[in-house]
Amino acid sequence: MAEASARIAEIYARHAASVYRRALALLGNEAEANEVLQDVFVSLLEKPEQFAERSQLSTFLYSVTTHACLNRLRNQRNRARLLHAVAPLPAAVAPLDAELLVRVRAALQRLPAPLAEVAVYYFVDELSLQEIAEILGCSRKRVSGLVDQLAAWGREQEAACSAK
Amino acid sequence: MFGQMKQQRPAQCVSDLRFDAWQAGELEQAASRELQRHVAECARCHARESALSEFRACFAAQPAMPAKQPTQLEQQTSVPVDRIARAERSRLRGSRSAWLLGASVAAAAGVLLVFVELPGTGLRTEPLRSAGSVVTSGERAKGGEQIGFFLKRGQQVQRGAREQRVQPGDRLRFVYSAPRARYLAILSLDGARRASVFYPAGERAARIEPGVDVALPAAVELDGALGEERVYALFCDAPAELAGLRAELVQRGREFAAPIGCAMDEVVLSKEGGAR
Repeated sequence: MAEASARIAEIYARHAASVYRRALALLGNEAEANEVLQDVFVSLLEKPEQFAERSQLSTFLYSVTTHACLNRLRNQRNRARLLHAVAPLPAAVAPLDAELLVRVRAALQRLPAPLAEVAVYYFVDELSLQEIAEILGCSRKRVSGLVDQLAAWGREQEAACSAK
Repeated sequence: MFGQMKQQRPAQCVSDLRFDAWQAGELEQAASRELQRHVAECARCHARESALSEFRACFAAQPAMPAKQPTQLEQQTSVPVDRIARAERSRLRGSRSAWLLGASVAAAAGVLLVFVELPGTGLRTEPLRSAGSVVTSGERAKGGEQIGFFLKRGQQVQRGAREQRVQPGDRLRFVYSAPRARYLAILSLDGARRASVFYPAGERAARIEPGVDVALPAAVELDGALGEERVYALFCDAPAELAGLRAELVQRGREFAAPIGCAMDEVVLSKEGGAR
């Protein structure tokens, strides 16, 4: 246990800022981002085997943080509050502007889980297809297909809105 | 949404994931050099790296995150963790509930969570936001070990220079860069030739893992003694005894040189009186 705790302390030292930064970008709320930060590291304390054999912890933590944030966005109790959070964030937190982030959050809440995850990596984090493939543990081609599906979903939504 | 959205980041530019992996010391040396070369030449990436650096500095300077009820974590950790967590909660009483996780992980890393007087000096160590990593975008010695620091004055945090004016009460948080695991000791010599050990708190130099601008767990609060103070960082192959290094520093003063098996870096602080 002590060894695992020491390992997690080291991971916290190196990665906590980026976990918090991404959670803040995705949720737009400092308190929620703090909760995610804590949940991620409590989870590691409880299940240290999660990261035991991983050489690239950054990719692992991107994945864990994304899942934690998407779960919060989908939580009915959080939804209204988070989807309307428009407070401007520091540029370092999110390159996207606040209004666009609000729309992205709303879309993430409606998207099927695999596409929502890809949407976060591709449009919010602006990662390359290869980087997303490394996080998801699949091929670059598979990611490319998911991005195409995502764009098609977006076009369908826009068409549906225009038709109303 | 998403139908017409395009990525803004040019394909050749560095992603945040890449920056994060670099800061965490996860990149191979060649990849790290390539990234630094690109950042030096690319205005967009330079600006992004600076922005991320500022964010990390602010994050590191903030108090630890508020935590949930401690029961389960306290049960999983040792008695000292519990004691330190209680001390931290007591210190923070009146703000938010418990700040446990920062306390537990910091304790696991051997971080002091209360002010501690550094022996023989007017300096104190102080906990900041656990042992958060900080990226600086200042100039680095290529391929070598190096220290830097962030200076907190009131609520303002700025990157410290190699020769930095400071004031009593300023708080310094040191960061190091090292391409391989070493043993680190940070000592200082003030104008009255008094030597202090800034890091670590034990009797010997502490092992550090390779990384770029990794923040050390405790900060130093400067006392009221004015004048020039030189800070020496020794990156050694073995865990050198701090008492011996300190004695050598007192004896040789500014002629102090790195012992065999150690590389040395140095910053100079000019402490001046000022409105606080």
